[in-house]
Amino acid sequence: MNQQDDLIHHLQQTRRQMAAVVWRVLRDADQADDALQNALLRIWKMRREVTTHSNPPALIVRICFQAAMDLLRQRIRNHTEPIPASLTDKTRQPLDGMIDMEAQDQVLFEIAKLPHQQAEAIYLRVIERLSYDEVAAVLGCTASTTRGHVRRARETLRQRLASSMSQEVCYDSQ
Amino acid sequence: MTHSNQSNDEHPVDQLLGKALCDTVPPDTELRLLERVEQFKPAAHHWRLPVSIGGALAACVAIAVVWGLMSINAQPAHAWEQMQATLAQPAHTIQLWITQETTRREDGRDVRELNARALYRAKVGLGSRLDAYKDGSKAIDGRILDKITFIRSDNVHEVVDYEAQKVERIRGIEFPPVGKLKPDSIDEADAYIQRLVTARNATLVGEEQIRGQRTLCFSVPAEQIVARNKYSSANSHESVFVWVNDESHLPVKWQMKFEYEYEGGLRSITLTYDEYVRDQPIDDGVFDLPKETADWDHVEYWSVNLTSDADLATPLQIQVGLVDDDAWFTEQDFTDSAGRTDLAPKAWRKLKELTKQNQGKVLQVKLNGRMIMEHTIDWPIERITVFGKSHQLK
Repeated sequence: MNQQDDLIHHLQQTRRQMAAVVWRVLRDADQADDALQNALLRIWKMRREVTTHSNPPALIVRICFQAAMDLLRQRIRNHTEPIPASLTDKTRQPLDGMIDMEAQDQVLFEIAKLPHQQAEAIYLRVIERLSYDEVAAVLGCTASTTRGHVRRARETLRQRLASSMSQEVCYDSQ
Repeated sequence: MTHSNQSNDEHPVDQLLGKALCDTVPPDTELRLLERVEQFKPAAHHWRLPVSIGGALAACVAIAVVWGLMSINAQPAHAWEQMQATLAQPAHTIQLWITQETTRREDGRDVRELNARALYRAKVGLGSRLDAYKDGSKAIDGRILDKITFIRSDNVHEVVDYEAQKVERIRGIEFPPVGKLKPDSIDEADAYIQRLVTARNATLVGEEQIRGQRTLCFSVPAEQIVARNKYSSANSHESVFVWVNDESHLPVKWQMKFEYEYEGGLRSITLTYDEYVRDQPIDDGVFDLPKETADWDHVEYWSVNLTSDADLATPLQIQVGLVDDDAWFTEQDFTDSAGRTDLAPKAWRKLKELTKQNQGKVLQVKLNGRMIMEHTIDWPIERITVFGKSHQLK
C-alpha cells in the first residue's frame, strides 16, 4: 500500500473515535462537523508523519482533539455557545440535564484553559486510555514528561473543579 | 490503540473527566461525521514511475487506453468521475466570491457591494448582504467577520443561512469543469481544454492577454446547466475562465462564473479554484490576483484575515505570540505604521523561526490588543496573509 492508501486505511479504522472526540468536546453537530473537516485537512497535510508514526490512530485522535479544542476555545472567547445537546434531549429529566450540562460545561471549560500539552496528555491518558509511553509517542516527548503533564493537569483540574467534585460526592452518597 | 490498565493511577479528577467526556454521539450526528470521513478520498497528486518491467508494461497499456479514449472524445460521465477525484483532495482550497460593485458612501468610505450571495463556511445566506471594506474587512448583514475559510473535501457546495443555520445544498455545480487542475505539460493542458470543450459542449468566446497571462473564456450553453442544477432555468448561464501563464503556457487558475435565476432575480456565483496549497504555490509575481479579491487569499492551511470593527483610523498594531502555560510565551510586535502592507522582513523571519521551534504550541494573533486568532501550530508556517497581502516568511 502506498502512503495515501495507508492513510485512508487508518482513517477508516479510527473514524468512530474521530467522531466521538469532536462530539465529546463540542457537543454540537455543526461545530463537530467543522472540527472534523479541519482535522482531516491537518491529517492530510501531516500524512507522512501520520502513516509513519508508531501509533497512527492515536495521532489521528490527537489531531481531532486539537481541532475540536481550537473551536471550543474560539467558542468560549466569542461567547456564542450553541444550545448544548443535553438540553434538547427529551429523554432526560430537567434536573438531570442541568446537573450534567453544568458539570460537563465546567469540565470542558477548565480543560480548554489548560496548557495544550497538558490538555492533550490528560485526554489521551484518561479518556482514550493510552499508556504513558503511547501518549509520549503521540506528543513527541518522553514518558516522564508525559507523566508530568498529566499530573499537573490533574492537580490544576482538581483545584479548579473542587466544587464540582464535592457535588459529585454528594450525589453519589445520596 | 492499545489500552492500559488504569486502576493503578485512578484519580478523583479522572472520574469527573470520564463523566464529562463520555457522551455518546447521537446516531444522526455520528452518521454525518462518519460520512465526512468517508468522503475523504484524496486522489494521487503525481504519476509515479513504474518500478518494474511488469509495471512499465502496465503503464504503457494504460497510456494507450487513455490515449484511445481521448481520441474518441471522453464522455462527460468519465470526466465527472475524474473531477470528483480531483476535488476530493482536501489540500485544495475552493474560494467562492462574488462580483462586486464599488460605491462611495456619504462618510467617504468605499463599499463594495457584492452581487452574488453564496459563500461556503462564511455562513452567508441567500439574500444576505456582504460588504467588503477597503481595509480588507468584510461584513455580512452588517456583522464584521473575523475569519473566512473555504475548504471542501467533496463536490457539494453548501450555502448556510448565517442566522438560522439552515443548510441548503446546491448539488451539481461541477467545479472545476473536467480533468486535472494543473497539467504538467502543454500537451496535457491542451488535452484538458479539449476535454472541457467536448464534455461541456463549451465554446471559446473570448481570449485576453493581461499582465503576462492569457485568459480563455468558454461559454457553456444553458441547457447543460439546467440539467444539472435545481436553481437553473433557461436564463442561466455559465462561463469558464482559464488563466494561462504566458511563459510556461500552463494553466494556473480556473474560474467558473455561474449565473442562475433564483426567486425571480438573476444571481451569479463565481467559483475560483487555484492552488495555493499545492506543493509549489503559485508565485505572487506570476499569478496576480485582482485587487478586490486579494483578501480572499488562502495561504497554506490557514490565513489571518485581519478584520476589526475598531476605528479604522487608528494605527493598527499586530502582535503575534505563542501561548505557553496560559501566558504569552513570546510576543513579537508586528506593528505596521505605514501602509499596512510591508511588514518588516526581520519580524517575519523571527515568526517563522518561532513556528519551527514551537510546533504543538498555539499561535495567537492580536490586533490592537484584541486577540483575533488562535491556532495550534502543527507544521512550520511558510506564508501568512495580512490585509489581503500574502507574505512569504523568510
